Formats: sequence, C-alpha cells, structure tokens
Amino acid sequence: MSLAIDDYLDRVLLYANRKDGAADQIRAELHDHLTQKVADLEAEGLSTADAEFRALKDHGHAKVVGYRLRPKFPLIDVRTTGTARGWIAVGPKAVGVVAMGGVGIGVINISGMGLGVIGLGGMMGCLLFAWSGIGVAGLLSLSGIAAGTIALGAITAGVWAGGNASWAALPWADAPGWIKTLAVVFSGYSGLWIMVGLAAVLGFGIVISYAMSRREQQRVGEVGELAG
Amino acid sequence: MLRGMKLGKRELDGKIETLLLAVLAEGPGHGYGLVQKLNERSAGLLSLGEGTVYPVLHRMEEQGLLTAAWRTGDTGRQRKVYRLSPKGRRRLNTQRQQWAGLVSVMDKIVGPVAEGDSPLNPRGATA
Repeated sequence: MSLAIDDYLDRVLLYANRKDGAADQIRAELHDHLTQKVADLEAEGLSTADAEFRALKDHGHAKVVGYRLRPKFPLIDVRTTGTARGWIAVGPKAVGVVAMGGVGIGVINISGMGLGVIGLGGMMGCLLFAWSGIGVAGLLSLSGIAAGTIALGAITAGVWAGGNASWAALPWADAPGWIKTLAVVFSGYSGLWIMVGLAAVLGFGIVISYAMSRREQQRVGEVGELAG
Repeated sequence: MLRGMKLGKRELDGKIETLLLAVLAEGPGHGYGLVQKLNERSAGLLSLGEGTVYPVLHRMEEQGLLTAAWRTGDTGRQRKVYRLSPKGRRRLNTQRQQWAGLVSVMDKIVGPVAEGDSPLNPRGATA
C-alpha cells in the first residue's frame, strides 16, 4: 500500500465530492489503475519511488481528475478552476439555476458576463430582467447601456426607453400601465430593494464559495499532513 | 515540425468518447487496459492525463453506452470491467459515419498530410 498513491487518491476524492459508496468504487478503480501502472513501470526497470512518481504524473492533477469526477448536477458546486455546474453554481465559469461567476449561464445569474432569465452583473443578456453595465433584456433592462422592451439607463434603446440618450420605438406616454408600473418599481425605491436582494444572493454565494474553498484547502492540508 | 506534436484535451474534446467506444467494440476492458490500448495505437501522440479517462467512462456508463461490472483480475484485485452496450454500438456506428464525413471534407479542403509527415509514421521511420 503506497502512501503517495493513497495521498493522491485522498485528494482526488476530496475534489470529487462523492458520497461514500461511489467514492469507495472510484478509489478502488483508480487504485487498481495506479498499482498496475507502478508494477509495469517497475518491470521496465524504474525504482518504486520513480515508478510511483511517473504513475501519478501520468494520471493527471488530482484537482483536475477530482473535479471531473464530481456528480453531474449537485445542489451546490463551488470550484476554483473550470466550469461549476449545479443548482447553485459558483466558479470562474458557472452553469446553474443560480449561477455566480466570471462567466455564467443561469435562471438567476450574477456574473461578470452572462446569459439568464434574471441577471445582475457587468454584461448581461436576459430573457426578462437585466441590471448591469451593459444589458439586453427581453422585458426590462436597467443598465448603463440598455436595450430591451423597456430600457432605462444612460444610453438606451427599446420599444419604450428612457435615459440621457435614448431611442424608443413608441412614446413613453403611450406605454401600457403595467409597463409604467414596472419601470417605476425597478427604478424607484422598490427596485432598490430588489437590487439589495440580488446583492444578498451574491453575498451568500461569495460566503458559500469562500467557506467551501477554505474547507477544501483545509482538508487538502490535513491529507498532506497525514501522508507526510 | 510535427516532432513532439501531442494531441491534448483541446484537440480531442468530444472525441475521447469515440475512441473509447471503438476500443471497447473489440471486447470488454478495464480502465488501465483501455488507456494502454489508446497509448499504444496513438504511438504516444495522445497526451491525456490517464485519470481523466475515468470521468468519461463513468459518464458513458450513466448514459447507457457502456455497462460495467466488478471482476477479479489476474492480479487478484477487483477490477471494474466495461462492456459496450447495444446503445453504445449504435452510437459508435453513428460517430464513425460522422468522422468519415468530416475526414472526407477536411481532406478535400485542407488536403491530406504528405507522405512521411504523418506523426504516426514520421519521415525516416522504418515499417
């Protein structure tokens, strides 16, 4: 039983975040692979230490292998590299019902750049509502540069639009009552609370992300100490 | 030019599944054996982390393209042996046709690799 291999597998499974039964099977499968590889390399003349080093190197980085072994669409997926996928997804790229990341796709999307139904971030393309620096929305875009059925912001274009520089297909005065109500709600005091709500979701995501990453790092450290 | 050329995840994106289906079409196998076959046939051209094959195998199993069972191997260790399912065989046939079509189009437009420049049969190599 090799400590180096066990340490490596501990790390893989830590990142894989699988339940006990599945984790045991993955460990057994990868352990068999690595043990066989070490035996073959030893048969080629390498020392045990060199064979283990080479086998682990060829197997790939524990984080990469572990992340790819994660369940397909878990409740929460937080990761520091690659694409997070889950009901709540937090990562450099995120795909989920609630997606938070540099680039995101989600029903509720809080990202630097993203697509979604409701979005808050730098550049957003949304089916209903975008609140962003640059936003395109099917219904309401409240952005610096905004385009949508209703567009409100600094530079805007829409069926109904309002802003410093705006292009509107129809005059605001002719807008249906519900459109005017929406505009008032989102650009007024109520809209501020919606903004606060979305910011709270973002804060929640950051806290979860930080806590999970920290926990992961602690566990990686513990695994290292045990192996050392 | 082609010396040292490797095909990594980026070049192989989406094709590892086809490679695994093709190897498994010849008979059941375990992960290590599949990786060995891929490496042997690619003449070292594939530069995949061996561990990254397993997530693909697991996904294919979930999709019903493969079936898997634990068996005791020659070494006495338990090994997970994968086998192609009928659905996997159909998928392989489809992917073979798509691949043949793609190669045909690429050959017509990009042109084939010159004799001796193939990374699998480099200039100066003896048969």
